[in-house]
Amino acid sequence: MSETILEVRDLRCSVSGKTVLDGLSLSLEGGHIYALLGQPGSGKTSLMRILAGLWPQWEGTAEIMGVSAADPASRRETGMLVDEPAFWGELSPAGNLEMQGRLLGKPDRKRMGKLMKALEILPRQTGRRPMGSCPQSIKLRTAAAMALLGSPRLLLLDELYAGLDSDDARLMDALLRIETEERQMAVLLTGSFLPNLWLTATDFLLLDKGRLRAQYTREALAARLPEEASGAALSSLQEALWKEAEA
Amino acid sequence: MSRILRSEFYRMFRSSVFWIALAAILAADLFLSSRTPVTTSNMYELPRLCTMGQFTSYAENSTMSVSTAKAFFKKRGQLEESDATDLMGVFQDVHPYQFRWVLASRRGLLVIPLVFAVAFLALDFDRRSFNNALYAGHSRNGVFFGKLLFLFIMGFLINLIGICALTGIFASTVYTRLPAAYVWSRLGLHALSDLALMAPPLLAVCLLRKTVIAGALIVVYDLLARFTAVLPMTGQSLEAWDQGANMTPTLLWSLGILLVCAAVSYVFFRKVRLP
Repeated sequence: MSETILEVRDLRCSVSGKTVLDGLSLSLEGGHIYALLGQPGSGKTSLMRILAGLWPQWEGTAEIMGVSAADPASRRETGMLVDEPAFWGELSPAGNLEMQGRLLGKPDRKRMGKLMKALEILPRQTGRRPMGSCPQSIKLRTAAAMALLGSPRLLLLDELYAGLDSDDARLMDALLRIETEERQMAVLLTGSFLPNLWLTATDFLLLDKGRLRAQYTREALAARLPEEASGAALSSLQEALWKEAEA
Repeated sequence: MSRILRSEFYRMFRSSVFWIALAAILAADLFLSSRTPVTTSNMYELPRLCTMGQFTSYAENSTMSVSTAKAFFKKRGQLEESDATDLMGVFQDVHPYQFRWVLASRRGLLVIPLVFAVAFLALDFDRRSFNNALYAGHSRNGVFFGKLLFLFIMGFLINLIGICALTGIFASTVYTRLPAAYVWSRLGLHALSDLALMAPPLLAVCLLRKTVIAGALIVVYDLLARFTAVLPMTGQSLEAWDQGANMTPTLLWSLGILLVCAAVSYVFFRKVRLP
């Protein structure tokens, strides 16, 4: 049986009097890639921010490997990319990885090289070019590599796939599958568009108004699709899922 | 906290902001040292200000004896022992009193470490790279105090490098006549006393977390510090160069301002929602 990596129960949070999470409960197990789907404002990024320690005020339970998300120790085995990629603009992509490695402890250059190779962050392309002047594609791939650098058991990637082109998404998919399988990592991807996450995720969670409305496995959803699932078919499925959830 | 410090130093040495700040302060100090008029109001009846070259010329042509000059300064408590054999040598031995004017004139350069500190910290908030330390499992307190400590260390070092460059060029011959420990302790005390000036801008950055607004406030703050006596700590660092001066009150005052600003910043920052 897979280990529970993230356990969230009755999580509540308000910002300026507006409820953004309203009793959210979910559980993530190792070896799965979860897609958290929801419209903008549904609470996806709020959940990420709480888990990342950016928002200190919330109620309920959020535990990563049994440690409360309020405790910084809970993030030692967590990799994160919350909202837009955060990086040091004056450093090169390799410099950003080195910097994150130093924050994590001792930089693991072997792991750094492996991730750069897998995500094709090639020093001959980027050189010592500052991250601020690199193309968006390199920024996103480097941010993903930074999140994976500490070999996390829980990986949170917020809206990453919305910014990746098809080649980048392919590289990311391959890496996530290998890492998830090798280390029984749990991955939580957020997005608002099912077709973006369909090829990557193994489980799908529907979030609306700060609450989890439904949860599906990939197999359950695949059974409702024609054999050759097109983008249009996936969009229709997403609409149908929302209608079911509302009902 | 040591991981935060190590990573910040790594980042700093690869940051153009740091090298620009260092180059700017060195260039400004070199310029200042080449233009330095030395105060001579306490020497003979010379005009109040003259350049080193003018003084040299005066010393070479003066009919005043070396022993008279030594007695004059000893009476004023500005010279202990001197083995100088000419007036120029006596003048140099009277240092570090002459530093005061020169160092006071470089007070405007403090804006450089200030801008550096503000840019370094505010950009961290603006680009949200501050969050990366939290993602790596550091506590808010650890990140906050780690960065604060780093900025004060850097502010101290940049200021110290500037003072060394200025006085090293302006009065290198004086340094050779004074004990190294004395020179370094004066330089260190001077740079340390100036740290209080950096505390309020850091408070502004932590409260506002916006580079442009914080940068604008720094300009206003610097003008206030330079042209008014609104800020009580300005100028106190010059006392470091007075022989026998008691620097404890100045250092305590500087430390007090640092602690108050750090505490206020922390109280506001502790519970804030980061983007």
